This record gives sequence, C-alpha cells and structure tokens, in this order.
Amino acid sequence: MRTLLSSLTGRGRAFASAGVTALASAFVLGLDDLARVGVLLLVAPAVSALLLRRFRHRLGLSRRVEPVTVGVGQPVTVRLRLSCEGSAVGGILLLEEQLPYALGVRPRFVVDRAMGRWKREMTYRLRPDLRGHYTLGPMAVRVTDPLGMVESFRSFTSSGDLVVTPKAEDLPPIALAGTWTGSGDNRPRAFAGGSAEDVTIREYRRGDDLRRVHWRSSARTGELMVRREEQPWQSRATVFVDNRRRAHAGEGPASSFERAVSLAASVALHLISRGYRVRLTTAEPAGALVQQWHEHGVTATESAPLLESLAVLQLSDQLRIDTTWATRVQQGGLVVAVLGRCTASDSAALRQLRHSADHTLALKLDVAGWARHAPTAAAPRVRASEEPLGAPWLVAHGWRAAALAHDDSLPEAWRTLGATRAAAVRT
Amino acid sequence: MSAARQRATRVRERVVLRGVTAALLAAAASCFTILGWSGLAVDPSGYTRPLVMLALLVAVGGVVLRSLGLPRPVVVLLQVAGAAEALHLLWARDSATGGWLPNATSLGDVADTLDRAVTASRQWAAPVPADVTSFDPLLIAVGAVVVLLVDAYAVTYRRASLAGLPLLAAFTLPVAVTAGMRWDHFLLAAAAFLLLVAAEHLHTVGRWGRPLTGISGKERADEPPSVPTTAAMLTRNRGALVRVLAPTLLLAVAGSLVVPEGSGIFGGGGPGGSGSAEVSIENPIIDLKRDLVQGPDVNLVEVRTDDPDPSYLRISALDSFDGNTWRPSRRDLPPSQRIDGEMPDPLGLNESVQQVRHRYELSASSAFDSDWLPLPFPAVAADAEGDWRYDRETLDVTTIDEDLDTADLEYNATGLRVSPTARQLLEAPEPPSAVTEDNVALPFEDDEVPEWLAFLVDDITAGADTDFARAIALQRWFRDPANFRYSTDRAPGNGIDDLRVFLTPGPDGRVGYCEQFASAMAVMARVAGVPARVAVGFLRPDAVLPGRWLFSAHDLHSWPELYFAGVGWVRFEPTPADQAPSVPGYTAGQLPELEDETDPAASASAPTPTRSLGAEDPIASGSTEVDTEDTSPWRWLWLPALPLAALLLLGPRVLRGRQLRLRSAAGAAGGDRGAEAAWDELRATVLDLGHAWDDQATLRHQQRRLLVLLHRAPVGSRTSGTPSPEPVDRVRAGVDSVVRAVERARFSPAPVPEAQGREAWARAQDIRRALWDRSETRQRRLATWWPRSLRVGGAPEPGRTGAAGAADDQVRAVLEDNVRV
Repeated sequence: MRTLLSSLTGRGRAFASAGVTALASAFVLGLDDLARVGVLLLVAPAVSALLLRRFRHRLGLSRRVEPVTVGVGQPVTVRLRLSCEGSAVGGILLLEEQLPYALGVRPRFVVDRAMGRWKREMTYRLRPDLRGHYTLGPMAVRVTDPLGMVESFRSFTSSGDLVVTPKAEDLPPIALAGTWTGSGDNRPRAFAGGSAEDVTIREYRRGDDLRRVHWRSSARTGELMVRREEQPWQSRATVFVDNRRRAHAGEGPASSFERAVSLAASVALHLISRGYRVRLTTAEPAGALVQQWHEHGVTATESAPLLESLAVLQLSDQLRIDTTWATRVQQGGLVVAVLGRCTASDSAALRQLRHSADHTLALKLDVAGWARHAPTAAAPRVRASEEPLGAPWLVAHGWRAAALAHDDSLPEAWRTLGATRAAAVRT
Repeated sequence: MSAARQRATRVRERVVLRGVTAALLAAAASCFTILGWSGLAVDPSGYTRPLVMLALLVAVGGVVLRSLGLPRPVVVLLQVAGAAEALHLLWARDSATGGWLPNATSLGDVADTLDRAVTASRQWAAPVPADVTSFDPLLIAVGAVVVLLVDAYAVTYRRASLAGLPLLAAFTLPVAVTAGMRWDHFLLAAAAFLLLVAAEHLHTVGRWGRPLTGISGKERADEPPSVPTTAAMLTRNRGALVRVLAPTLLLAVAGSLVVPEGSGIFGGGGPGGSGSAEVSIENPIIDLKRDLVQGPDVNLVEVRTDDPDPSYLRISALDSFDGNTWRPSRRDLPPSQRIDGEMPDPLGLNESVQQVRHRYELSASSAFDSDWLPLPFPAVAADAEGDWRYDRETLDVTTIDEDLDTADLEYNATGLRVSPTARQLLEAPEPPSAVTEDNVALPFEDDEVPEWLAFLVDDITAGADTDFARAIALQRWFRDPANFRYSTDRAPGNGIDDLRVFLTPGPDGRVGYCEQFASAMAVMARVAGVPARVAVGFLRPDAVLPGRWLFSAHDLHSWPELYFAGVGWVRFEPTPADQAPSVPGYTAGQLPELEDETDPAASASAPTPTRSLGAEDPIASGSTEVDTEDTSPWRWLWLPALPLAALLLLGPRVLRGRQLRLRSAAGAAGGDRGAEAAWDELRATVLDLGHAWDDQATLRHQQRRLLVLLHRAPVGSRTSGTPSPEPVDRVRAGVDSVVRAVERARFSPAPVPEAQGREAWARAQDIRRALWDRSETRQRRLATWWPRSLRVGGAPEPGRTGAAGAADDQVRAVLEDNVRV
C-alpha cells in the first residue's frame, strides 16, 4: 500500500485527495452524483497504480559503443538493444541514458505500447568536446501510465565506457636530436644493412619513402607495406607534462592545462611516427605515472594506450616536480617537456631533467594568457622571489625551448623549437 | 529536393495546426458537462445549443490562434473577446452598431438580458418551463465561462487536470439544483475529461524523448526525431487507455450507489421506465396522466376494510403552485414524524362534525413504485415498515429513503370518514392565517390576478357570499356538461397557461381530465380567497370480495381540497360525471340559508377578512413558489469560487515550479545564463527554506553562507526514489564550482563555456538537494506550498554585523579544506 501511494505522481495524489474530498462531501450532503465524481477521481489513480504494479517486466539492455576510444570532436555512435519479456499489461517506458554533463544532452527514448515480448534498437550519437574517461549509463527507466497518475523509477546497472583522447595536431619534422642528417627525415639510426632475407616489414606510415615499399608483401596483404630498415632497438623519448595545479591557469576546457595535454599528445604521436619509443611522465611521483615505454609497432595500437593515459590526466596538487623517474631509469635519449608556469623553486628539477637526457626540448606555455580570462579564479599572485623561469632561462640552461602563448599555433612553435640551439652548457 | 518542394515543406510547417485533439477533447468535455444541465429547464436546447456552438467556436479559434504562434495570454484574451462578441451578437444584434459592433445601447441590452435571466432564475424552480426563455442567457453566460476556462487550462496552458475545476463547478450546478446529471451524460463527460488528461500526459511524454515506434522497429539515428501528434499517441496507447478508463468509468457511474439516501425528497434516481408495466410516482401530478392513460390498467393497491365505500384513497397533497405546476411543498420531516401508530389530529376538524373510524389493511403490488404512501384522508393512525414519515399539515406520508418505495408493501391505517353538513361548512368562520398564508398564494407578478381569471371567478361566484357558496358555485360550473367535456386526449399540464387554454372556450378549450379540473378549481378557489390545494390519489376501487377492494392504474385521480375552519380540508369534485359520477354529499342539494344568529360567536369573532392577494408578495419572499427545491441563486455563487480558492492555494507552488522549469531550461542551455540560473535557484532555495540571504553581500560571502548551511547534518533521509544524499565534500566542492562559474559570467568579458554553465546547474541541483536534506519537514512543506522567494527579497542575515566573531570562526572551520584562496 505504501509503495502504491509513493508511486503516485503529483497529479495522482491531487486526483486521489480531490476524490476523497468529493466522496466525503457526497456523504455529508447526501449527493450521490457528487459521489460519482469522487469515485472517478479516486479510482483513476488507483487503477493506474494497480496496473502499473502488475506491469512486471524483465528488461534487458545491451550497449555497444563505437568506437570505444575517440578523439575530441569525433562522432561516437552508441547502439542500445532493449529487449523485454513482459506481461500483457502495457505501460509507457521513459528511458534516459545517464551521461556526464560534459557529454551534453542526455539521450531520451520513449517506448509506448510496451506489451508482451519485444525487442527494440536505438542509437544515439555523441560528439564529445572534452577529453576524459566517461561512463555511459546506466540507463534510468521511468515507467508511467497513460494518464500520468503513477510513476516508478528503475535503473539498469550496466554501463559503457568511452575514452575521449585529447586533440593532437600534426607536427612538422624537425631535427630532434640536434643533428641534421640532410635527408629531411631524421629518423633513428638507419638499418645497418644485411641481406634481403633479414628484411622485416611493417605497414606504411605517412612520411615513409616510396622506395621502401615492399611490393610483394603489399600484394599479399592488400595493404601498403614497407621494408623495415630501422634498428631493432629503438630510440627512446620521454614526454613530460607538468600537471601541477600551480603551474597552470584557467578553468575547464579553456585552461592552459588542457592546452598542455593537447601539446603532449601531439608531440607524443609525432615522436611515435618518427620511430621513437615514447613514454609519458608527469610531475607526480612514480606511482601515478604512465611509465611504460610504448612499443613502436603498428601505429594505431601503440599510440592508443598513450592517448588514453593523456585522456584521463588530471591536475595534481603536487607542489614540486617529481624527478625520481629521471634518476632511476636509463639515461640518454630525448626528453620533451611541456611546461606551464615555473618558479624559482622548480629550477633544480628542471636542471635534473636536463641532465637526465642527451637532448631536452621544452614547450613553455605562457600561462598568463589563459589566466587573463579568469582573473579571480585560481590565479595565484606571483611573488618576487618566485619569478617564472621562462624560455630564455631554459635556453640558458641547455634546453632547446620555445614559448607558446595563448593564440600561438603548435606547428609554428615546433618549427621554432627545431631552429633553436641550446646554449652549450653541457659538453 | 527542389527549391519548390522545400518551400512547400516550410509552408506546411508554418500552417500546421497544433493541439487539435486536445482542443476537441476539451470542447467535448465542456459540452457533455453542460448537457448535464438539461434538467434545469424543460426545454434545454435554449442554452445547450448555443453553448455547443460556442464551445466549437472557442476550440477552433484556439487551434488557429495557437497555430499562429501567438503568446498564450493573447490567445486566451482573443478567445474571451470572441466569445463575448458571439454572445453580444446573440443577445443584442439589433441595437449593435453595424449589426455587430458593441455600443452603449447594445451593452445595456446585454446587461438587461442577463438581469432578466437572474430574475427568472429566482422566480422559477428547476425545471424551468419551456416558454420562459429569459432564463437561458444566465446558463449561457455561465457555460461560456466554463468553456473558456477549460480550453485555456487544458489546451492553451496544457494543464488538463486544472480543467477539472471548472468542469466540477459546472457539474455541481445541476447536482445542487436538481436531481443531478444523467448517468450517460456523466459517463461521456468523465470519459472526455480523462482522455483530456491522457492527451496532455501523452503530449508531454511524446516530447520527452525520441519515440520508438513499432514492435522490433529499428530506428535510424540520422533521421530527425519526429514528434508524434497527440492523436497518434492516443491511438497507439489505446490498449492501455482502455484498461485504465473502462474500470474507472464503470466504477464511477456505479459510484452513486455508495451514498445512502441522506436528504431531500426528490434526491436522485432517473424517471422510471414508462414502457414497463410499472407505475412509478414521484411528483404525483406529473406522473398522473402517464399512469392514468398510457400505462396498462395494472392492479396497484388492495384494500381490506370495513368501510363500505373506500373511495378517494389519497396519495399526496400538492399544496404549492408556482405558475407552472402544482407540487408538494417542501416537507420538513424530522425522524419524530415517523408513522408508528398514531398520527396527529386532522387540522381544523371539530368534534362536532360527524366522523366514522374505519380500519384499512392495505397492500401495494410489486408494480406500484411510489415515494408516497396511499392512505385514506384524513388518517388518524398508520403503521408501515420502513422509514415513512408524515407531514403535519397535509397528513400525506412519504419517505426520505431513496431505496424505499411502496412496491410489495403491506401496511395498516385508520381513517376517518368525515361527513360535515352543508350548514357546518356554510357557517365556517374565517380560516386561521397559518392556513391562508401558504394556501391562497398565487404566483402572479405583483399579486395581480390576470384580468381574465379574476373576471371569470367573479362571474362564476357572483351572488355567493361565503367561501363554501363560492366553492359550490365553482364545482357546479365545472361539472356542468354545457361548460366542460372530459377527455384524456389532452396534453398534461396544469400551469397558468395550460389553465388559460383550458378555461377559455375555443377549439382546445374546456376539454380536459382530472388534472386540469382539479388544478383549475384549486387555482380559482385561491383567487376567490379560499385556501385550496390539489390532492392526487385513487378514485374508486373495484370490489373483488366482500370487504376487499382493488385500486388499479386507471383509477388514479386528482381532486381539489378546500379548507374550512372547524371541518378542515374538505374534498370537492369538479371533474365531470363521466369520470367521477358522484359528488361529496355535502355539496349536493340546495344550499341551506345562512342564519347569522345561529352562530353569533363565529361571525363575531371573525374579523373582517382582508383577503387581498397583496398580503404576501410571493416573489419577494422568494419561498412560496420555489420552495420544493432550493434554487436560491446564492447557493450557486460559491461554486465558481471553488476553482478560485484552488488557484489561490496552488498558485504559489505552480509559479515556483514554472520558475524552476525556466531556470532548468537555462541551465540545460549552459553558458552565462546557466550559471546565473544556478545561482538564482540556490538563492531561491535558501529563501524558500526559511534561511536568510543577503542580496547585497558579495558572491564570496554568499558562498560562505551556503557552506554554513551545508555544514549542518541532514535531517533524516528523504523519500525513496531520490538518490541518496550526495557526499558532503562533493556538494561543497560543487558550491565552489558554481561560484566560479557565476564569477566568470559576471566579471569576465568572455562568456562562460556552455559545458561549465551546464555543470554549474547540475552542481546547483546537488546543493539544492543537500539543502533540502538539511531542512525540517515543516520548512520543506512551506517551501513547497508557499515559497518565500516569490515574496521577499534577500535581506542581510540577522546578527551578521554584530556577532561576527563566533559565526566567522565557524565559517572558517568549514572553509579550511574547501576553498582554496
């Protein structure tokens, strides 16, 4: 009885109470016609509630997200298959997919005439604007009657996952290790030679020389394959993203941190395409890091985990850059740092980074440009003793660095980076 | 897709009619409810027909106006104007400028029409006779208001359940005034109303999300979601609708059975089936002709008695004449007047009059279905099973129990055969004013007896100088075959106009049956100043065995009773000998000479009569001719006040709900508006829940105020169905993010990103819930029904300026881990 009452909507309650009032007045005044009204108003919600109680259904829902990983601004299709082995009593199902607010309007579906056994398919599309790891669902179900007298809420438990990776831009090739081979394609050391039998093949990637196409394999696999002339061991590169809250300004998608993540993604993908094995590090201690070297192999599979880790990268309350990874792992290789605001207290960490690798590149974000748009929020005042260490300081300390303001384009900055020479601090 | 076809599509979209189904359903609900008013007048088409036309006009006009995309208040205003113009045309076309434009004269005419209608409504009891057309405009005006309200509520504002209020008001009108609404009208009106409610709900549901049509139907994502029409939704869900509506309507129609008979003589019940072999008597005179002539001659009452001539078994006395018909006056029947052996002494009967007691054992057959108990007159004792009650003045017996009737009833009675002498009657003194007050009243305006009637009575009673002499003169005049012919081939009717036809020589004149004779004589006796009433009953039984008599349907009869002091109510027989061969003994033969000196006391004690009919103004007193039913218009006036009261009660809540929906829309849109909507909603929630809110304070201060409120512990858990309370920290972080969004909206030149606005609104909802969780039930209830934010602005919280210390400590304690400064 209690559940019956609690399932009544505002309208149902209004009807029921008006019905009770009318019945009471009918008894008091002896007006049997008023009793009809009373019974009408009282019975309508009661019958609706009873029918809805009899509406025992077993609903099944399967959700397919295509694709599971998607770039910012790319369309995602979610297919839902709803099946029901229900009773003959019909109700109206109002389905609402529970989506995070960042994914926009929640898709809603109406299933009426939901009687007996049926199966329905529905799809909705998303075009996420923000990177991240999203949970799609669970689907909330509201069952209502045609008069709107009663309503009951249920919910599926299953949900789907969607990873939205940050936006990556194509970068022009530059001399990464500071050496110009003159071929225009500064890849890691060339294949040392050997017979044709030793040649392994891999799929074609943009930028590969056409002369390296292995036509026989291409004919066999139906895809363009090239001879793999690189070393079996790889050059290694580390992409460092400064994710300390204090190093960034701005809120949400328009913050400098989002820009930094996007830069890191672009750089990492670029490096992978250049044949590097890439790992991702942040200012946080080792536990939170993405420490694996992402295998340089088939592009799609190798870049995916990296992009996924970038997708869920969050700001940290860490005050200092943790550089234990730099001391622990093998030296050498390339470090590309995406830096926000740096203060004097960061100089030690930056020096250590510089020493951990043969070549260090830095993209320095001019954070003030983002802070301007939100002057009151999270814009710490910079004290005189904490002057930011800008690009000149980095260059002076052996980095190849380029500054990037709010409206600067990344490829430009990247090209500038290629043109800079670090001061010869370390020989 | 050619340009032409695109254009065609656009045109079709522009003129597409919206809300046709709802408008038609609303009109149907109004019309069926108004059809329920058909009991208010004998010829209801005078107001139902214009009202049905008006309902259609309002519905069609509404559809067109709404489809043009006009704002809702404008639609309603135009509909009101249109309806008013239609009524204006109906009532004052002749005096209007150009035949349609209202001017002072035509508006005056409209006012006069309504005024006359109100007067008529006071003057006539329901059902109002067919020839009183001045009554209709009142119902048309009331009905127009109902039609407009229902359309505005149900279609324009899409609040179908609120449309129930005007419909209920319209429904209570016949319930309060007459026997109520016929069950089939009620069924139709109720079905239309429920369908209207369903249409509104399905309309909302159809727009709530993407409809998945068809079983196993696949639906393509690239198709633009098409919103189904209300008619389509109703059709698709007809199965579920039938499942809900059928039991509801059935139970509702049967619902009248749950109320036991409470009060009122004519309460409820439809007219008995005239085609069946049953004789049903409710208002005796109305049923008389039907039972007398049209029905078969079934046996109705069997009597065993020692009375050698048990004629004139009386069913009821009709002591009230309203110009339209004779009817029993309103009976006051306390439980103490249950018949249980002795009955009161007959009014005005002296011991000196010869009287013989007879015992009667009566048994009514199953075919006799009457609310009145047939008894000899005057009865001095009666005993019957059931709640039968007598009336002190008329000594007729009726029941207030609707389920009780005479079918198969066996009962006993003791009656008197009163045989006054002509002399006793002739020498009767003036009747007491208690009797004359009610029994000489006539429903003529200003008490002016129409000239033709006054002349006629004067003519007949010329030379008669006592009441009894005048009565005898009248009876002889009626029974004179040269004057009248008895025939049942005459339409029933005993109103003044029927009587005029009956009393005037002409093709239809001077022909009638007992109904006309009895009522005409009673009216003329009243004109002559003799208290008179009409009795209905059985005339003469057939003897079946010695001492056993049988009354059948064709024995039904009607006769006048006149009052004479000292004798009481005395029967006369104006109906010609064809039907009633004999007259009462005291009226036969020559009148004895009046001897003044034989009864000096009588004539001396009798004051000079002032029997002018102007003594009582029946219309002004308002009780004489309409007292069988309470038709005082003031009784109706509170009915339209019901919806008004409901509006007052629901108004604040509805307004607040609307505000919340508007803000929710802004919140869903996100951006600056979303952020501001979120903040406004938080402010309103704080105010609603009875907390202080300072509009002059800074955002940060208001934020602290919120955090202090959130610092309290939740009060119990809310009703099921809502998510469990949010973790406190998350809510507090939410406050932070809302404030940031608002700051950004207010102070930043760049607009707030849409997602951030949406996020702010979502967070605000969490905070709102958390605030509700931290409020007492009383506060919640107040916030729901009487939201303070609609009335008051924010004032500085009390004590803020003075006692800053303690409060600020608390604030700081709350803030420490929440706000990063």
